[in-house]
Amino acid sequence: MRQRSVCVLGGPDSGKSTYLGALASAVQAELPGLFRMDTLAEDTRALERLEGPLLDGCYPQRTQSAEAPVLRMNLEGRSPLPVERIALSIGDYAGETIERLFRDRTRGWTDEWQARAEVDGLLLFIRPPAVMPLPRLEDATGGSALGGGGAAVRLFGEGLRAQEAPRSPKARSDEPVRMPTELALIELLQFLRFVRGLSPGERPATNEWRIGVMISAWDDVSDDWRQRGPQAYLEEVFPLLEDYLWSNFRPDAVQRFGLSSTGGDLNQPGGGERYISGELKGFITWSGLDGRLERRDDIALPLAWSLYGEQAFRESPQP
Amino acid sequence: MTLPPPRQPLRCENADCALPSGGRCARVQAFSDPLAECPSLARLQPGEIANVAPTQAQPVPGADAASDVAEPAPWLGEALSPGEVDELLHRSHPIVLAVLGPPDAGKTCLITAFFLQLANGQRADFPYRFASSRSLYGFYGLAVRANRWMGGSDEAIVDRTPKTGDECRFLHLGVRPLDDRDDRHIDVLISDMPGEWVSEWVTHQDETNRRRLAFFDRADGVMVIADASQVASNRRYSAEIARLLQRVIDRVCGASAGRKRRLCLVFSKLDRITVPVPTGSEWLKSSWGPVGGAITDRIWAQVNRARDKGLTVDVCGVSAFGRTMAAGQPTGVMAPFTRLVTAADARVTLALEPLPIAANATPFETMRIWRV
Repeated sequence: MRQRSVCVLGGPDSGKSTYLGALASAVQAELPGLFRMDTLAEDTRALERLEGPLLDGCYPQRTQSAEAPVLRMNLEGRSPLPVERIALSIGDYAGETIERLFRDRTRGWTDEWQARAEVDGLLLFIRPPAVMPLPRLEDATGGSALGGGGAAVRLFGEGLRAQEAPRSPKARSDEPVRMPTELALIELLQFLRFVRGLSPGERPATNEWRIGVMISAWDDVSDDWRQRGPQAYLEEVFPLLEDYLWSNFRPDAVQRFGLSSTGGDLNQPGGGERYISGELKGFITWSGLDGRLERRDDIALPLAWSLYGEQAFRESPQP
Repeated sequence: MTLPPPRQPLRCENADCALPSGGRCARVQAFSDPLAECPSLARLQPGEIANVAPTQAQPVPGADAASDVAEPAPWLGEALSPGEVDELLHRSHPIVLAVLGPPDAGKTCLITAFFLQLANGQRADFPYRFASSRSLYGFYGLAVRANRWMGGSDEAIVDRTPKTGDECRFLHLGVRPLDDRDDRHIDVLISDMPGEWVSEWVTHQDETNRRRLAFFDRADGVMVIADASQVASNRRYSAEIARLLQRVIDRVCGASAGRKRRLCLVFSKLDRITVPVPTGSEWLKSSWGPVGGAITDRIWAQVNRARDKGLTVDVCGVSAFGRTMAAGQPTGVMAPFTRLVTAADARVTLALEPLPIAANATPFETMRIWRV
C-alpha cells in the first residue's frame, strides 16, 4: 500500500476539522467520487471524533491545543484515477498553535511541525472574514472589476487564460486599509519551505508539492464572489498570500478552491436536519485552465488534486 | 524610572504579548528586561505583596504540551540581526535602502505604510510582487501598532525605533519582478534607525556614528525624510534637513563616485499642510506650488547641488497616516520605494548593431553579423 500524506494548515475556525469530518463521512459512505474507503485504519479515534458530530448534524468540536489528532484512512482510488491503495494520514491541530508559533519564536517549532514539510500536498484553509466588503467597482484600468480578472486568450477559440499579474482594483481614498490576516500562514509556509531546503523564490517541480487553498464557508459568501470564483477572491482579499504563492510555486502547483464542507450553516435552525437528510451537500468550486468556474459535489477533489494534479479534474465525475 | 514588580500570574494589556504564557515579550526589542521595564505588564500597587516568585510565569491551562519544548523557529522574524544581514549579503546581492531623517520625521511610519500597501494589493507603479520576508513578524508588529492609532496628533502612530545595540537594524523584504519572464528573487533591506543617531551623524563624525552608518556606502538608494509641516514652520528644522542633505550628498559623491545611486527627498506628513498632496516627483520647487514656497531655499539649494553633481534626485510628498487605517488610504507612499528600487535594479540592455557583410565574405564571416 502506498503511503501518502497531506497536511492541512489554517488558523482558528478556518474549517479544517469540519472538512476532515465531512471527507471521512463521504469516503465511508462511498458517495460518487474519486476515492472510497478501503480498509479501516488501525487507529480510528480521530475519524470518530471528527465524523461523529456531523452524523448528528453538528459541527465537530474545535481541536484543543493539547490535541494533535492524525486522521488515518486507507483509501482506494477509483477508476479512472490510478486504482491504487493509499494509506493517507492528515494531521489536524488547533488553529491557535499557528498564531502562537508566529508570535513566540523561542519554542513550539517541534519535530512534528517540521515533519509537515515532507508531505505530498498541503491544503491551506482560509475562512472569509465575517464582514466582507463587496468587490470594488472600479479598477486601475478604468474597467469594471465584475468582469473577472485575466482576459482569456482567444487565438483559438476560448483558449487558455493568460498568466498575467492580477490587477487589484485601485482603492478609493476613503477605503480602509486592511490589516493583513494571512501573515502567520505565510510565515509558516516560509518555515516549511526552509525545512525542505527551498530558497526564497525557488519554485519546486509541480509534482513535488502541491498547495490547495481552501476558502471555506463558500456557501456563505456573496453572489458576486461566487460568480467571480475563488481565484478572484484570493487575489483581491488576500493579495499578499496570492503574491507569495505566485512568487514561490509554479502556477499549476497551486489551486484555489471554494469549499463548502456541509453545503450550509448547521447552526442555523433546521440546518443540521437538512444536512443529515442529504438536502444540504458539500461542494467544491474552482476556476479551470480556461477561466471557467467548475463545481463538483465530491469534496475529496482537492485531496485528489493535491496527490494527482490536473488528472483529478479531468477524471472527476461530472454532476 | 523603576517600575513596581509585576503581578502574579503575569498579565499584559498587549494582546500580542506571550510573556504571561511563558513566551516572549511583544516589545522585547525595546526592553532588555521586560519584567522590570515593560509598562504594559500589570504591576503591584504600593504596599501589595507578590504571591509568586516574580520570575515564574504560570502555564496556560490546556497549553500544547509539545510547544513547551524549547524549539526555536528558523528565524526571529523581526528586524534582522547583524548576523542575518551578513548572511544575506553573502547569499545574494540585496538592494539596500538607507532611510534617514531626524527624530519623528516619519521614517518608520513610511515603511509601515509601504508594507500595508503591498499587503493590500495596492502596488501602484511598483513593478514587483511580494515573495518573502524574514521580518514578517516585525512588519506585523508595526501594522498592529498603527492600527491602534485613534487619530490624535499628539499620539504616536508607531513605537519609536529603539536605540539598542550599536548597529543599524534592517527590515527585509523579498520581491519578484512582475514580468513573468524575469525569474529573479530580489532581497531588499530597508534601514530603520533611530532619528537621534541620524542627527548625531550629521553633527559629528566620530567612531560611534561612523559605525552606526557603516552600511551607508553600500546603500543603493538613499531616502531623506523630512516632516513637511516642520519644514514649513520651523527654520531650525529646515536647516537641520539641509545639513542632512548636504552630508548625504557629500558622502554619496565622495566615497563612491563611480556608482550611480539615487537620492529621494521625501516630505512626510503632507496632510498637515492643507494643500492636496502632490503626486509627482518633480525636483523643481516651482512644481510644488504653495508647498514648494513653504520649504526653504536652503533645502532646494541642496537638491540643485545634488543634480549639479550628477545625482538623480526625486522629490516626493507622502502622507503615510493622514488618517486612521479605518478611515482611509495613505497617499504617495509607494513612489519613493518605486523610484529607488527600480533604479537600483536597472540593468543595462546591450544594443546590438548589425555588421555589414562584405560581398566576398567567407561562410564564417557571414555567421558573425552582430556587434555589441
